[in-house]
Amino acid sequence: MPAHPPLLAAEDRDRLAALAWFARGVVEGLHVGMHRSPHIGVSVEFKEHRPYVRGDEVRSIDWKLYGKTDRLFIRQYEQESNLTATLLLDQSGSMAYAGTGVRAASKHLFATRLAACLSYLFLSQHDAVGLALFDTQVRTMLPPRNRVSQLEHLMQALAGSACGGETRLANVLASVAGRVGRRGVVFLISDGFDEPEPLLQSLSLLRQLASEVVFFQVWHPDELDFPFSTRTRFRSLENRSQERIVDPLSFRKAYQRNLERFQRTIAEGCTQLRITHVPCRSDEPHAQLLARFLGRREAV
Amino acid sequence: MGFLNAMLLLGSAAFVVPLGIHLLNRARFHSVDWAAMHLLDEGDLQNARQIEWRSLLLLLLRCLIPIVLAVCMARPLVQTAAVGGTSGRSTTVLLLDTSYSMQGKAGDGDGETRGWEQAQATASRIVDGLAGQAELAVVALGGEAMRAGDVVRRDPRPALGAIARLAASAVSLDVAGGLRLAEETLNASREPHRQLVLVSDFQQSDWTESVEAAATAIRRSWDDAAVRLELHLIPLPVPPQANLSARFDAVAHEVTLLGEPVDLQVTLENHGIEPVAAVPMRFSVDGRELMSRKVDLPAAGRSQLGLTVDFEKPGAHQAQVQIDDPAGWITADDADSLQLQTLPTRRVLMIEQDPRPSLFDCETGYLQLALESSANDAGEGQAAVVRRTSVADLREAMIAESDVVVLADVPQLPDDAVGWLATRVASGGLLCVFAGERLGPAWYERALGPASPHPLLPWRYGEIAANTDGGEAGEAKDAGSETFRDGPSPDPLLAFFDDPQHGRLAAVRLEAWRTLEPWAADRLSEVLLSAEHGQPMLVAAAFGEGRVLQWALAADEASGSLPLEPVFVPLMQRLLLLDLSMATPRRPDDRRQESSLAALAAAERMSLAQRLGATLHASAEEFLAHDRNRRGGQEVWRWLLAVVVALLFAEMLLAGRLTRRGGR
Repeated sequence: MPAHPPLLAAEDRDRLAALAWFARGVVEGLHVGMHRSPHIGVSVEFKEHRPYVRGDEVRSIDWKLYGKTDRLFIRQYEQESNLTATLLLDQSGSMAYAGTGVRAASKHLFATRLAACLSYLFLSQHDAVGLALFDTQVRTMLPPRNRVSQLEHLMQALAGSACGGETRLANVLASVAGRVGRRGVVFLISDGFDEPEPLLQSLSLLRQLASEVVFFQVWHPDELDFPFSTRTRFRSLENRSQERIVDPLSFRKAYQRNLERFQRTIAEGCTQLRITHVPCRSDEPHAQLLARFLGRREAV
Repeated sequence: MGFLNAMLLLGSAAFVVPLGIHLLNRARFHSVDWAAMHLLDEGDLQNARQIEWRSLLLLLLRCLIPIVLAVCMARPLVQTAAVGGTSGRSTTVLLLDTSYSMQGKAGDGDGETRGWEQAQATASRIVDGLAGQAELAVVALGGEAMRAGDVVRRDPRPALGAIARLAASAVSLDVAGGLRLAEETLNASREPHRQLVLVSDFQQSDWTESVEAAATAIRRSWDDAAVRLELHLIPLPVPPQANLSARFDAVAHEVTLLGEPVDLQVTLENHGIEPVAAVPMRFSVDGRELMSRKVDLPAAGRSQLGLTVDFEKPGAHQAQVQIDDPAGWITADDADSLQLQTLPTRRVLMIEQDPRPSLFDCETGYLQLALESSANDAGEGQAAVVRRTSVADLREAMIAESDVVVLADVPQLPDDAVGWLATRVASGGLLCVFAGERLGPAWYERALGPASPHPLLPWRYGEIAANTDGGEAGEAKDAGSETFRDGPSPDPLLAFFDDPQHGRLAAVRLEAWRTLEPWAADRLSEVLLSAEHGQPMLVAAAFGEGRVLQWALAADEASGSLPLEPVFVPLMQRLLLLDLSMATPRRPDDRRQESSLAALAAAERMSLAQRLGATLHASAEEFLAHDRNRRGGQEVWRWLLAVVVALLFAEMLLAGRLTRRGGR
């Protein structure tokens, strides 16, 4: 599997090799994988015997058992299925924020690396991985595949993504939900900077179609800590005409109040929708983040 | 408004430092491309705007601090309506209290401070402070107010010299006189502003109602003057120390006869607020101690001691009283002295028409007994030596050798004798004329009346009058009074009898007398005694250097009960023997009130200043500051410094509040 150094470092792959995603329920898939399939068929893993009934395939009869018991039993195997993971990556203008210092990468870079890690993780499990890059609309759409070449396609798409435009997260999710045809896992990697109510409505729709939805909400440390001390003019990354001049010392308290209110709304909405909400900071190592997330997921 | 250090106003330009920092910080905001714009809520921006206003307020405070501080250091002068308007030169009259109480001292040895020294120091500081700014004159208020030196214009040294030469006097304060003298001095000035500065200990005793009324009247007269005169009061501190005083109470007169008992009364007074016990007191006459005892004096109380003395030798005698009061504020009032003059034996010539050997058969018998009664048993100390003669035996030498000549119901005298009499009286003798039945009014008018060469007689003799109750109504021309008129006498000799202890003139019964009528010609005379209904009984007049006493009564009991009354002896002795012209002038008695150290309380001084329309100052420095304010305005740097402190405090609070809001 070819490496892609800017998005997927060698140490990330080493760490990801020790990780595995296990589906919480059975998943449908065309290919054999590590996840249980709702279809019982040809497989290497024995499940149970059941009495032969007319119509059963003759080749399914366990002749050895017939020799011992003189009765016909059908030998049943549990079929292992592959998982379809769809990565929804926000590349709106707000994701381009990289901070005023060198303390953290941009949210977009963090999101692409996280998407790369997830792609690598699922493809290494022979699961199918698809990708949708969007801002105001879906800009790039890679259908889920579990081919070896799929990772290369994904990396190229991720490397070629560029931030721009405003966020229409609710609209985009509604449109993407239609394309997630099979029940699988949907990973939304975004800062979620949209109106909370329509955003949660779109996530609800997505949740109905997918078996599991995970929302990685990406925060830059500046957005959490608001570390500014001097008089600052804040210009919108999505709408350059929008700007506000703020005295951070006097405004910090109000900002933090707004931040807490927004985070609480998203978190409570996700809990109600049974969507896994994973807030993450862009200065956090993404492989480490995944390890922590998966470990907690298995514990649950 | 002016400034004492105007250059320091440039320091107010320092306000540009905080302003510049503020503007620089405003202009140097940095831009951030920001994602979470929805977290910069508009509602909270409203709050931020309030904080922005507070920041502007903080900037204003920070700009004001250097400005107000610079103005404060420039020492601004603000002219108020009360002190402004008369800037420039002035004329100042210093009124210095040089009264008796200023002699007082506080402390002992090197630490001793006299009240007068304090007054001098205060006055000198005022003169130094006003040097070059005002014309100066110094007026001493002790006793009769007088100006010390001339008006000083530029060089203050003469005024300082005059103050140094002044000393506290032995009399009380002359406030009214001092104000009038100062008014005259100030009215002669051409300066636009004129003021009086009274430096005094403000003793209560100095500011009686009459003194204050007089001072207030003078002060009010200035209100109508073209140029307003300002009065300033500077009280000197009076230590609350005790003070004892000893003094003789007033005697009727300080001339006595040989052997005449004189009652001397001494008042010892404690002017302090603490009682004193066993204070040694000594009383002496002519250096001989007559009494020595220890007395207790209550707080703010007094004790009176009496002693009767007489003198056997003529001449001056001195009585002294001394009390020990080493801790007192004033030591000069610890002793007092009284000068008494004892007259030598008086020679009395009594002239009758036909004197008889027996005293009780002649006209002047009672009179002779009365005048010679002062002799002691040994015959020494006799106040008078009486010689009697008839008109026929009268010689010139007899009259010339006599101090007192008595004419007792003499019908007439030879013409030569009238000339001898006139000569003697004019040279200082005393002529006493008694009336009677034989007296010839016509001769007296012709020989002694105003038209005569020797007008000795003050009034004209008339007919005999009698009391209707006397049983001689048929001979009486007019019904008169039966006794002397009672009441205080204006004559110092007869004032002695205002005290009933010395005899009651009103007890004398008058039965017959000759009427007395004033001459048509105006002649100065005085009615010394009169009957109840107004008829004159005794008239006195000066003649040359001597004196003439003219009685309407006879010398014997023919006119009534006078010779038989106890008052007769002292009355005749005083009238005929005492010569008050030999009395030494009595010293002013007003220093006694100075012994009381009680000064006007602060509230009383304030009230006095209000009534006088004066400004009260606690010290010379306060007055000088007031004068500086008058010329240049009032310094307000202290208030501005308080404003700076308040601004700093407000800045600290506001900055802390903004920082806390930002930090949370």
